Amino acid sequence: METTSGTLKPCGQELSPKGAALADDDGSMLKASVAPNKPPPLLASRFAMLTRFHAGYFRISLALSGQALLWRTLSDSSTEPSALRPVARSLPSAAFALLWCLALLTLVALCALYAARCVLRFPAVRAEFRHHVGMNYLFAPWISWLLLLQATPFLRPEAPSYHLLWWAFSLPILVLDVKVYGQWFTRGRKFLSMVANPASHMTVIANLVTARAAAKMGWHEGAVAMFAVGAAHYLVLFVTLYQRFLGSDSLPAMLRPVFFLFFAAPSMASLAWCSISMSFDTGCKMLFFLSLFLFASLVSRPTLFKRAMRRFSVAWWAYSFPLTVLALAAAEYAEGVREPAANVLMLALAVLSVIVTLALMVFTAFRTNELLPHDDPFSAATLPTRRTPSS
Amino acid sequence: MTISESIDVQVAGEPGCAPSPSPEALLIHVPSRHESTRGDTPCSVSLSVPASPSGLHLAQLGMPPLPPVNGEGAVPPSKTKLVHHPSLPQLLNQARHHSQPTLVVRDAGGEAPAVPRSDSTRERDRRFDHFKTFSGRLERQLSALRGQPQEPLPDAVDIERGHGAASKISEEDTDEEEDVPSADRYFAALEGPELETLRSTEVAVLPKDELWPFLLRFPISAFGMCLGVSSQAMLWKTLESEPSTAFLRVHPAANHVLWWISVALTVLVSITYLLKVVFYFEAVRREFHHPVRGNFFFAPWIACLFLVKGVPRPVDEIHHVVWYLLMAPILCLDLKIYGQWMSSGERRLSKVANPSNHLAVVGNFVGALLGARMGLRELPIFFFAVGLAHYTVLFVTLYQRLPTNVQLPKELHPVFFLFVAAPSVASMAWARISGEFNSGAKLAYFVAMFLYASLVVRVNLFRGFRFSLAWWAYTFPMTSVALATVLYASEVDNVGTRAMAVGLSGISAVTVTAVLATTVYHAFVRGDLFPNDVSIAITRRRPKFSKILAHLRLSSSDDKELVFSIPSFSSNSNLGAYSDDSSSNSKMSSSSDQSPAMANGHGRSAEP
Repeated sequence: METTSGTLKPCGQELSPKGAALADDDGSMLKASVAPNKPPPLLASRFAMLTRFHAGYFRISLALSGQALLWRTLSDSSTEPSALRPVARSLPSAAFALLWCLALLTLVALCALYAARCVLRFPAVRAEFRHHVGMNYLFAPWISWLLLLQATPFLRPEAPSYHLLWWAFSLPILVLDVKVYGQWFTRGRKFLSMVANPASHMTVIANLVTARAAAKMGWHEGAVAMFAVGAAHYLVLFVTLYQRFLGSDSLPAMLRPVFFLFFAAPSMASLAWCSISMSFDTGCKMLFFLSLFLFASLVSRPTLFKRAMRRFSVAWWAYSFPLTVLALAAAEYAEGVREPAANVLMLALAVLSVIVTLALMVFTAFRTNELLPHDDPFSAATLPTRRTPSS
Repeated sequence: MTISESIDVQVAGEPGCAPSPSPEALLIHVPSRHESTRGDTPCSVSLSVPASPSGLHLAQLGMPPLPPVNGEGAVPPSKTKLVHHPSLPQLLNQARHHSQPTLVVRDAGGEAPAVPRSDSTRERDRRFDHFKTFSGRLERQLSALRGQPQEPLPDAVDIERGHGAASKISEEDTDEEEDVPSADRYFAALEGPELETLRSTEVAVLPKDELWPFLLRFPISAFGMCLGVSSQAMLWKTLESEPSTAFLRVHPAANHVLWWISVALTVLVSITYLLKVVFYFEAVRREFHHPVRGNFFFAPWIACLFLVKGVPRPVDEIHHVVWYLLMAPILCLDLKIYGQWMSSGERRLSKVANPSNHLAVVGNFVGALLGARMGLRELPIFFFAVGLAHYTVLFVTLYQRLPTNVQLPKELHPVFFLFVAAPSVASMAWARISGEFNSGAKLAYFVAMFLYASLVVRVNLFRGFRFSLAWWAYTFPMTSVALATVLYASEVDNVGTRAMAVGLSGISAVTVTAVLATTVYHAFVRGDLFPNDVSIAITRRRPKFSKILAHLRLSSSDDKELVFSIPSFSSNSNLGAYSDDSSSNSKMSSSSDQSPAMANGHGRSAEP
């Protein structure tokens, strides 16, 4: 099975999100405890890879779908101010179609891989669901599908197939919502103060993307409902993460790129509210400015990411989606507020997002080995007793 | 690692270890090590302990050899010199590391040491070197520029060697955090609602009983005065211009006078603090890392914003550049402090949250208010959004009183009035941004009123606190509530709201006057407006055997003289126990062998 995101080479290094559970840091203990795998034969390697594949890989599809949506938004706005028309015209529709197809293929491949993993390696999936970082990425495929749906060039939001697809992708999100959010305040070992980490923003983003798609679809009430759920839990999560009751051990150093989700959530909220209220009003502006501030705050702390940048891993893909969402929000802002400074901001952010995504694609193409997992982060054998989930 | 560990005790004027009735000097050679592993060479410290009424000045490192008092040759200078010279670089290294630079010159019985007075003052100056910019080198250069006589050659040689060694250390010591105590240290060493008093088990690195240089005593919380007075100027301007209080017929002169006074005060305080930044940068850095004082670094900019808002002419005539210039530092401070809340290990919010953090949040709202008045559109919303998000976090955290956060005072203190500042200024800002006092502004205003009422009914719990300059910072919340009420009364105009507006304005004016009177009283009559700022002079590490120190201090307060003898150290392990301890106080007393000796010392001191 060939995917655009990688081939079935079994060797390679992946520092998994589980690393912190097993060691203090970046899974160095994990590497020590797991015997290094010699490259098995190709057939066995397929199944072995299934074991090591995890939901964090959906970051790739998130990034690509987000990019597709960004290109669609940039080229779609027909009432662009003059500064943007050259840009809009320079994005040929062929390039956009190519990007969309790439995103679709990646998503289909990853979903197939994950479906195979569910069938063949269900205990691993269950372990992943119980992990405080891993469980948030179970929302990622659905977010990617919804983003891709919104970016689809040939499907209009009023079409019945659009409605159908929306329901198909939102129901899993609703089910996961009830499960995960309910755990936050009812389930003893999974209280929010114990499990909160920046990856939890994925749950909030899922609700907000659903709300935006519903608003585009025309279903106002559903959009407001999903937005309310997302916003309420975002408030709780924001306060909890800022307080940092537990300190910095909620997320291993290799996953620091996930910190970028801090500003992805308010940008997505801004976009969702803009679709609901049909205009970029003050609430949207405030959310957008907050995400700008958080972006500036993270970007001015490069040492935070130094350790994660030492080696390429799938965690690097976590940089792309938040930047794309920020650029999207900036595009809506520029359209709402017809000021030259806003256009400049939008252009800068869009260029940054495109560059980062392209760089990541190049990296992936050349360092595919490092992208693939070489050990299962969630296998029961390697879980230490203190983090063993209750079965 | 071998270290010479003999300690001799010599009492000047008398051989042996018997104390003299008024010992002039007690010279103790204490082997000492610094933290680096370079300490292979034997080094020793000559320490002079003054038997002054003020008590024991423990463990300072020796610098140039002390001449014995009364010209007594009990300590052969040659010996001390020999002892000192090889060790001096290490000592200076230690000085760099341990922030307790030099020794104390004793002046018992009014007899000056035989060495000229300049020597003792020079030695005295070096105690504060660590707090000075570039550890005193700036001052030396400035005095060289001014043409003052340089120090005599032996000292110069020593200093150069010290420089040589110290500069090597400075290259190694690149981690800025090591120079400043960690947040945990501040909480461990200090207590009180403003973290301003030293716990009894702690020792300051600077002598507590002498008056430190004025600049070193000038805290950043002095800007609270500017906050209080400039907010009053703003209040009187609003009282004059708003329709709801037009019936008071306030004269514009009130605003004029107050405004000029606050400008003068702000300029004065700013210049003084600027001098402190220039000359005592290390002290400023320590203040910035103090969990409570760090928030006051927003105060100068907030005071300037108040000044611009209260200027005796329409605000929208002022150029926008002024606003940009004032908000740029606030933005940088925001990024730094909020980023620390989010990603720092030891300065995260659940550990350091305290009511003074409101100052870090109010700046955003004040900037939004002023910007909206000046006619800006987008950027005030930016600052309002950032302030609102972080205010929510702070509010929840403070209300929760997390178990990791033990710093909120059990008893009420004026610091709690800061709770009222943020929602009241936020309501005014939102009213200006939206153009009218709409529901959002009313929401924030009612929250502020509720908090104010719940504090005012507990006013009897606010008694009995030592006055400090920081009290000024708590006057401006009262003024901001009064201002918000005036704006509210313009929107909802009836007798009740007008009465509230007038009443709250009266309360705030009375409060400011009372605090001003108390300040003047403390400044000129009592003279203790600027006490020694012990909160920045804590040691970087907890002194070991602190109970012994506390015990010592208790006993020394009874006796005029304190003499003790220290037996020689015999084991390496004692030194090893405190080898990484930066407080040389503990070096003096950290061996458990000494406790009997201490008891001896106490017994002896009780005799004469």
